[in-house]
Amino acid sequence: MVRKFNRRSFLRSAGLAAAGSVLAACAPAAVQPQVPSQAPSTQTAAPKEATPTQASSTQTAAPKEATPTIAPATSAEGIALQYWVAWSGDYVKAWDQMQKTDEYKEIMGNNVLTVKGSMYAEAFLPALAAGNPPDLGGNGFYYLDYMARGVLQPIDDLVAISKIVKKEDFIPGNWESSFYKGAQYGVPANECFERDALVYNSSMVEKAGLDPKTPPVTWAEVLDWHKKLTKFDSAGNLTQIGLDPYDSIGGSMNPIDGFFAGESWGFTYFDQATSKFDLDNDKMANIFDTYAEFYKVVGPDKMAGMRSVEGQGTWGGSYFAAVQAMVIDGYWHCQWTEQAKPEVAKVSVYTWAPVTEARRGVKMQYPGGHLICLFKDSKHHTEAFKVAEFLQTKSACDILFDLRGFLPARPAYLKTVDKYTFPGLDFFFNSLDEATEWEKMVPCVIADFVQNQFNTLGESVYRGNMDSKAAVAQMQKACTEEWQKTGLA
Amino acid sequence: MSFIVENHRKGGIEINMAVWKFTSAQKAGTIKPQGEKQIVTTPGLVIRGALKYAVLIILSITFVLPLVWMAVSALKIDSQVYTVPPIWIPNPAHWNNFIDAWTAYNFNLYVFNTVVKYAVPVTFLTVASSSLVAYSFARLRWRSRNFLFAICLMTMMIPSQVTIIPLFITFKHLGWLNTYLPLVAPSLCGDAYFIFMLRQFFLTIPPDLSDAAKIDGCSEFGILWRIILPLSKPALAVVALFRFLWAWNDYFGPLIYLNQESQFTIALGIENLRREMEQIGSRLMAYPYLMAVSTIVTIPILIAFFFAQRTFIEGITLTGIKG
Amino acid sequence: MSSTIPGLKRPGMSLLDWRREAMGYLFASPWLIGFLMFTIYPLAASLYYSLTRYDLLRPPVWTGLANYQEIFTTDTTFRLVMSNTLFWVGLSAPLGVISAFLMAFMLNTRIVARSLFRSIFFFPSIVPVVVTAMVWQFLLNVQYGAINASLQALRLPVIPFLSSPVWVKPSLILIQIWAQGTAMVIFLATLQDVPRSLYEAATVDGANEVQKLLNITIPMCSPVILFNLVMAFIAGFQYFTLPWLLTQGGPNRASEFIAVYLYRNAFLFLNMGKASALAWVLFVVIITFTFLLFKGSGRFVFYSGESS
Repeated sequence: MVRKFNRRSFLRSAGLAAAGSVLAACAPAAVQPQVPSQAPSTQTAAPKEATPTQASSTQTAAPKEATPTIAPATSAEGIALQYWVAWSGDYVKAWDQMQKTDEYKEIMGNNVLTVKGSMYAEAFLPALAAGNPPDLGGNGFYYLDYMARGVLQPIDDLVAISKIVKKEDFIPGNWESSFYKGAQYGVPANECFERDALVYNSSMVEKAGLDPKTPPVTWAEVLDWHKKLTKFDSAGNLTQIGLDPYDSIGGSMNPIDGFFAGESWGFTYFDQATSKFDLDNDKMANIFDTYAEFYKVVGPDKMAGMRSVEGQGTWGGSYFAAVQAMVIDGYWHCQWTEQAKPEVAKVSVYTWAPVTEARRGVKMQYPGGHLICLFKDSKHHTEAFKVAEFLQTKSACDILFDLRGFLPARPAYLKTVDKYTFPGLDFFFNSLDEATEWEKMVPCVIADFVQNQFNTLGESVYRGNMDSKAAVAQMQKACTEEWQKTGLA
Repeated sequence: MSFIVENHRKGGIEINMAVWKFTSAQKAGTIKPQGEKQIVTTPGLVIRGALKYAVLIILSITFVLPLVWMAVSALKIDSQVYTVPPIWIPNPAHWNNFIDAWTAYNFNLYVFNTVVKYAVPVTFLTVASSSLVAYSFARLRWRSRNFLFAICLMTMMIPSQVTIIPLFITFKHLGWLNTYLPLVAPSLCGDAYFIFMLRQFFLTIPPDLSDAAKIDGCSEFGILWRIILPLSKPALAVVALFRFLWAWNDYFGPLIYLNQESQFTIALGIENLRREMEQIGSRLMAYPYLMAVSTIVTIPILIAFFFAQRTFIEGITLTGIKG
Repeated sequence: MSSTIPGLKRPGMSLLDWRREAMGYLFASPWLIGFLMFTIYPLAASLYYSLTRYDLLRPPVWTGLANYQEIFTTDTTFRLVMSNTLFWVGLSAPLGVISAFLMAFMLNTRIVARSLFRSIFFFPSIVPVVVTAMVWQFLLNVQYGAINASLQALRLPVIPFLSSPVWVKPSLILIQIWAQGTAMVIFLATLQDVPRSLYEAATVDGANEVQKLLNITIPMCSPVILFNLVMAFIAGFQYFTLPWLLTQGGPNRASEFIAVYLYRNAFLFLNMGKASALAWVLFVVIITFTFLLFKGSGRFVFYSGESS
């Protein structure tokens, strides 16, 4: 090549320069810290629908008596507190309203609270790694994960002297979920009510020739409904489905929402006493197989397409669009449906979640939900705790229910709420008395890993790439190894 | 100075023609008689032209389609979004979405923050510092040069996910958290991509120009300032454009370094809207609002590009190559 | 000049050489300072983390080469993500560069409303990535997507673009090509610099369009093409945002690229140690590939090539 001539080398260099700018241009997108920050999929911490958290329902008269004695003991200038959550939009706006209430002023005094929404793992983790966490956090991480790794502040002493936060005011399961190895690290707040119901669209059910008044109780019956409710058009395209068991609560395997399938089948997948996983068993294999049956009726690709139809990863979107007839979901589904599509809400029926034939008749309910936690490295534990107390007051709960449909785990508050506010809400209220089996939270502290295993192996099974027995064996092995690696085993 | 440039200009063209003839004769092996095929047949030209336009138009439609979808979706309400078949012309069209979406978050403030506190300073600093460093790698002769340049290039190959945490810790120790410093200060140190790019541009400027200046007693910095930079204007313009865009769209940096809503940038506002869309019930109208804001945010850049194309594309006349 | 001056550490370097060295360092100092402050420490830290068990919440615990051992022996997912990534890089980088070049070539000819066309082709690349994802997710959707709606109207079966393991990578490539605007602009700039006189001389010699393209345009732009390719490879290995937004690595992990897997380990599985190890493996892979690419394209190595 003729390198001697200036024009030539100019052009080459120009080319290089150009290349460089291409690099500059296209690289940023991939190389620069654009990195994460995408909402982890529905399964990640909290995202399990930062469902409305019902700030604890304030009970009836309690706060008025309580607050004076609480004596926020604020200094003349208040403390600035930071509270990070994964919820955004209306939840953050709700705080604007909450901060205007009398109870807020009484409890919080001069302290200034900043609520920052849309905070997920990639926001919490760097802050924690640098020793710079907010004062309070909720719904942006798996609580147990953080409890086990010692970044949350034990609050037993603060609870002991609190006049507002009392064990007896909470649904037992929720209260227990705030404990890890005997110490309490959070207070159920914001959104912590029931998770389990089978919801179906009665008009779609009727059109399929089924009786909407006799809902299916076992998985076999649900599968039968599913087969009749799944329809294709003449070109073989999917027009509607019955149930996607991996959708919403049906596919959850984490402490906040429970391991629905495990509860339905009636086994516990991890035992804290022995520190061992129990996944390599027939029931787990049966879960994979049963769920796969639903997918076989629809076709895996078509089902995946239907799921992505749920509005870019939202929950239950296809239910509102009336292309999905059934869903296993929690109490928030009532308010969401009402807000998104009132006509669908009107015909929605809520009933007990399906169980196996062997457990026919069991009426299961899971007291899952969110907590508000204090971070150890925060400097203002006493003041921060007041936020947790405030969330238990009636004004806070009312506002959150109003704006987000969140409910707290406080039976006394629930009595002040009209259970017919949204169609279907009464089912959950009635569950409090009618449920025969209250599921327990499984204290697994590698939540996201386990959930990811459940999703990927389940997919391998329903796509026919793997036998369910091999899948559960692999799941047992992978989870055990991961658990060993954390050094917490 | 211009006299020298002029000479190069003229000399270069003749050399290039000679070069082309030489290489093409080697490759083609045949040299057709001159003048024979000057006039191309008209029908062939028409067909080729028509084909070209057809391809262009089809491609343009394909390219523009998603963006039309974006703009059109901005005019919808939720019930018009999740429909089968999809609606291309919403009726009624909700033009107020643009205003509602823009005020859903404090986007005016975000724009101010993004432009004044982030994009403009960072662009200016990047151009300045990258030029300095590129000059060093291109125009100065020193022993460690190639070695350090190779290191510089290698820094582009580091996946950023794992440097985030230590970097965050560094900024924490510097006390820069919750400010724009972590976003802007590093641009004082140049950027590997732009250093690379400018280096290549600088390499193309004939060394005779610098030599002549040196003989006249010019310092290195003077050479950079008076000769190299003026000749590199288009390259600098490209650097500025891309760096600006990069800052305009940057989401992750602002996410982890800025805590107060009053400091937020456009990208953060958009991302918040997007997350809300994922939480049904969190906000109604999240999808149309997201599309509306995105449309508003990209239109100015598009217009700017449309009018400034010449600078970037046609302005590279470093030494009058086109003759 | 190799006069030895007593006291100098390196015999053979003259005073002039030292002065040049100092000048070089002086001008390069902004980058050097940045490198020392913002690159060296994170690099060293991430290397250290890769040799530990680190969940970001507790201090790192030394485990030696355990992470690397796991990656290369027991981790079957690693093999899967690596093959996904290699497939992706191998296809998307060349296709992206070729399409950008062809677009630029077309837009460099004499056409009506050229500025308008150029803007149209450039526009996609300035849209923020998240918006690109949202728009395409809708367009490609099986149920609500416009593209499938058209197919359905034509009585054709719908294509599960993002919901089938088979179709997801091609769909991502499609989006990638759509967003090649900036690369196209760079090629346009380069094409401008190919002297028109060369084309004129070629016409005089009787070359047709294709011959001109192959014998003038491409060779004259080859350095740019090569480097675009290299940079596309580098970016391709770190491809993360779009697959994460669109499919979160699915379906059936068909779009689980190494950067996605890395993110998962770092931020979701609380396994920063393994994520750092993955990053270093990726780093080495990228450097190796880049080196091989340069070696394999001998005519166009430019690092030492300042103008004569």
